Amino acid sequence: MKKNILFIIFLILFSTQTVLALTAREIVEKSDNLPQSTTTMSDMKMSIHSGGSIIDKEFNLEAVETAKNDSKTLITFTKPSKLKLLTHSHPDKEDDQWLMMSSGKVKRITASGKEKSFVNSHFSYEDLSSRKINDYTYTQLSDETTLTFPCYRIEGTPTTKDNVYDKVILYVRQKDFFVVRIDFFKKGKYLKRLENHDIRVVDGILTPFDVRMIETDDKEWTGLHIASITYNQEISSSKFNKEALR
Amino acid sequence: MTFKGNEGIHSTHEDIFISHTQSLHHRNNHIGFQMIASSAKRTFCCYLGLIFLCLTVSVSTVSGDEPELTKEGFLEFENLFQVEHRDSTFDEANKKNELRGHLKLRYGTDALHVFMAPDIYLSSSFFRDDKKIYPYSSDSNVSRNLKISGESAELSLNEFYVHYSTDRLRIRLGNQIYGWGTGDVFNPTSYFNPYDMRESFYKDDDEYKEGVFSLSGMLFMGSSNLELVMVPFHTPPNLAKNGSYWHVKIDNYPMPIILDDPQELDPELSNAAFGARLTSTILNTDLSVSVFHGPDTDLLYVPVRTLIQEGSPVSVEVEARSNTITYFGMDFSKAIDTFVIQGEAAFSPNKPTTVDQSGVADDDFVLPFEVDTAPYLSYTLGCNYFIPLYKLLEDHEGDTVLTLEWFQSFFLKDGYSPPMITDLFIMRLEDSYFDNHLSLSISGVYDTKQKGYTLWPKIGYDFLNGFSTNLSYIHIEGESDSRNNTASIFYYFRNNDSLIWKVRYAF
Repeated sequence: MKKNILFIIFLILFSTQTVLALTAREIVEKSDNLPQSTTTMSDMKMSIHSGGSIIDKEFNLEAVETAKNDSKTLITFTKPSKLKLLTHSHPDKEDDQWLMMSSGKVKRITASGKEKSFVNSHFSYEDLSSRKINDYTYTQLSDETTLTFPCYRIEGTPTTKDNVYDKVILYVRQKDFFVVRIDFFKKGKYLKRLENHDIRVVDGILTPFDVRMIETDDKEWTGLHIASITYNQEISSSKFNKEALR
Repeated sequence: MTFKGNEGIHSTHEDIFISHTQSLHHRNNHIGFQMIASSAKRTFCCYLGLIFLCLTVSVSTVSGDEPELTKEGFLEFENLFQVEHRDSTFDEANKKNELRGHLKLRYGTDALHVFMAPDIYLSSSFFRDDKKIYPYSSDSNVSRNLKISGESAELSLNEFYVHYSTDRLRIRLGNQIYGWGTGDVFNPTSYFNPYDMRESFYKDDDEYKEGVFSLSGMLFMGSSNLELVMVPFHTPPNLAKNGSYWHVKIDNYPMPIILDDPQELDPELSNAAFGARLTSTILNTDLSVSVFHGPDTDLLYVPVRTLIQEGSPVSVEVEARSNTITYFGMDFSKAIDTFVIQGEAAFSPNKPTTVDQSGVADDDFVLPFEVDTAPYLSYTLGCNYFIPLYKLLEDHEGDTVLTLEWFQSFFLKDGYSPPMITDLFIMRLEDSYFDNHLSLSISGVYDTKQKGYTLWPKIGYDFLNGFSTNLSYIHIEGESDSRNNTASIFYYFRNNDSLIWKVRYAF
């Protein structure tokens, strides 16, 4: 009798564990479902550590998500040169991009090759574009403590052929499912990693104020520091109109 | 009186190569003074109203936003050396030493602000009498767009306006520069802003267009926009002064040519400019259609009379006339893979031109040349190829862009003097290295009709701390056909091969 009761208790506990243990996909879904903003306005500083020198750039970023799942982003570089880059991203077709040059002329440009580096930093355009959860299949790896946080480790393999990376490994913070690190692999080799530091809650949204993209040798990296950020404030839609860039 | 030999000199708005001298027939009669005074009054009133608006902006805020002052600018020093004459001394070859100060100021909020971008130019002649042939103006004057010019100094306010915008509307009043059109070098639909051609093709991109006092409104309609512009008074193009380095030396005609200064049209409603442009983005393609009525930025050069002066050869006086015109235009721009294809065209049913006398016997030329109107088309077609060099050279991080452009303009009826600037092929290759420290470019324009070309390589270094420098070389070759007195536009500048060095500090 005792054995039967113990067995039943063991079964119940085992079943509960099975129910509570999340799959890799579920972990990523929880991360994807964290509160996000419909508009973003931020002042950012970028420092590129390369070849023993440091190059600083400053820009303002304004972004808005539209009802059709399109997004519009206006990046206004203030240092070292004055440029404006406007991007209209579409889920089902090529992005539209325009550049206002220092002369004031506004030109349509090609949506940059995703593997190309963003303003000569260690971020590529692929890194800065939003990922859709269905772009990858997920496998859970062993848990690991990263940047002092216990994390789930999830390996993501792209489902599309035009992806820049062969695979990515996501380090998802266990306490709130926020991604604190991503390792990138290309041609089977570890290429670089992204680390999110100084994570704060702004208007209910988890925000890393210090983002670093670090190459394999740890000597070359780019830091992206948020000087100020506001979410869900009204931004005039005319700002994202190419004719208004001038 | 009959005249032998000369072809009517027709210009398009790209005809920056015909310079002028003061007319020997001084036009300041009593009526002229009154009209000038009236014109000055109206201009003054417009700018007074603009200043009042600026003061209003300075004491008001919109939607609780705090007004903010932003400023940026640069100081630039430029030297130009003529390299055509190898026996010249350093001082003889040094044609230009210029200090330029540029400022961009914005005060107000995003929704309501004042914007101004003054430029001040000082040539070395301002500081000493060094007899450099680079005058900004033949005498002191204030033009309608608030450009204050003297021989050795100039202050311009190409952009000086009050801006008001909402989610759906943008209104600007004041001196403005419009960026209509998609062409990289030639813009047939750039109707409003006259060109500053005092240095021919060789000004910086931000110095080419002259601002015009205007009222503009833009209506935002989703992915479409409608822009309306009204320019109440005419500002003619600015051309190289007689005797200056870029003055066109017309030496391929039987008689000397004396070109008049372009004149401002009277500030009447009939000489105001109106334009509208509807733009949209459809299927990753930018499209626009436009319409314009007002003074043409192209000048019409009309040989009017012969001049006989004691001690001088018989000359032909050519008037530089501004005419009102109607244009219908369109432009497009589309990205395909690593290419951006772009094109632009403007059609006028009534462009003034001179009746062609090239088929007339030498002794039967008649002055003044008869002026008529004819249907006219001007277009440009080109592409930007964003060369993915980073795929071939792993460490290459700069943007490599190859620009190709074809420009053509012509009348759709026979019997009229053809445009002087047409059938041009343009190429530009630009790249940057070492984290954008080093920039390289080479530009070329080839006149396929009259056989002439210019090449303009540049190398620049940006220290990324505000300081930058660049060195460029201008090479010009052009042919003249003595049988019919035609010449490539580059023929008139064939002795102007130059070396230009600039140093800039941006703040």
